Amino acid sequence: MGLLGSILSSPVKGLMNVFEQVRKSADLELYDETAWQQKLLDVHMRYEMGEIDAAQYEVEENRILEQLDLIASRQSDSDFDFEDEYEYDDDEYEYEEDDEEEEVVPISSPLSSIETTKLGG
Amino acid sequence: MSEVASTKTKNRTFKGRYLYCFIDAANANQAFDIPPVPVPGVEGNNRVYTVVEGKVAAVVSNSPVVRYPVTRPSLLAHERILEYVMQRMTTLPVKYGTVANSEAELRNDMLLARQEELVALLERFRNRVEVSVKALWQRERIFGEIVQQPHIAELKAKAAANPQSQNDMIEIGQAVERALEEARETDTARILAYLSPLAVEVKLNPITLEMLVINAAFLVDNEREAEFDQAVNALDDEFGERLTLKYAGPLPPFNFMSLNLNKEEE
Repeated sequence: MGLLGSILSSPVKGLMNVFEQVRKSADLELYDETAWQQKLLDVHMRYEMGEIDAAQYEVEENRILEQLDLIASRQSDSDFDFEDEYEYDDDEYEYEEDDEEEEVVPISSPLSSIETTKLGG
Repeated sequence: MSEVASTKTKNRTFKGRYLYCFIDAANANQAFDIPPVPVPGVEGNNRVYTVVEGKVAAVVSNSPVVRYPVTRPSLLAHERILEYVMQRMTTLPVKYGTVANSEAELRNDMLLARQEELVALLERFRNRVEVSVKALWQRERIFGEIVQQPHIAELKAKAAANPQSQNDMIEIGQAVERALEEARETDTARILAYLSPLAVEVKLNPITLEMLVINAAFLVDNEREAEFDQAVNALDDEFGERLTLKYAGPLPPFNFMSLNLNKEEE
């Protein structure tokens, strides 16, 4: 019975492990903050070199910032207690749309300085 | 010892402290008249000020303990504050989105607990600036040079005589790649010969684009900055036809900082 149990479960479990490995390595790429910060620098360089124009730059930059935001949100899930942080109950907690046009300047430096998003515990 | 009011603006009473940078306590007693990074979802009335302990101070604004979304306007706000402070005094920049849980935590766990480390870093960056130099090949030019190299010209002739052969094409590709790598080493050495002697420290960042020759940060003494500018100009005069130089600075010393604020990793 124990044997049957292990025969039934192990191949499936084995496959799950494989899937888990694949998922993890995909995650590594997708959620590697440093790699995405580098992409931000690269896309700015490509813009500077004239390989892409301002419109393409903006699209690329948006995409990368969104990914970095996603990565930061995953990291912060355990870091921050989101409740009771706002002491004013008349403030609505909503992000505003940014449709303001700004000049194209590199913004990657503040992302890559001291390695932390959090002080202490 | 306490908060130095920079403007008459009323400060929000959030319990967290959003951290921009560290400075010398001696410089903390002045106005930081610049808008803070906006608190996510909350309208203004916040200000940038300093918290002082001993010989160091943190430049902060009040903030709830939340995650700051990665958006262009907020990142730029952070960067502008760093630039503002850097133009006026020695600055140790802190990463975007760093929030201390409370002022007490900032004082005790950061400013007091890390006092020596912060003082040493401030000393290291005193009267120094970071500048960045990138050089990129002009694509046609560098490939034009490479295909003229005898062994590559030979491979090309061989491939032309034998158009069916995939192997010849692969061989050419590999040879071009090697030639590019050699050219990068040669050009990097030339550039560093000009610039390294003028810098206190050099950091070479990874090459992530095919046409990128060098991506370097230099820590330069203020008094040698003009000399460094001249050296970059001289480089441009000499190599301008094959290389595009991108020169930026002064920048906060992001590339030369190694301070880890994360308590768990101490």
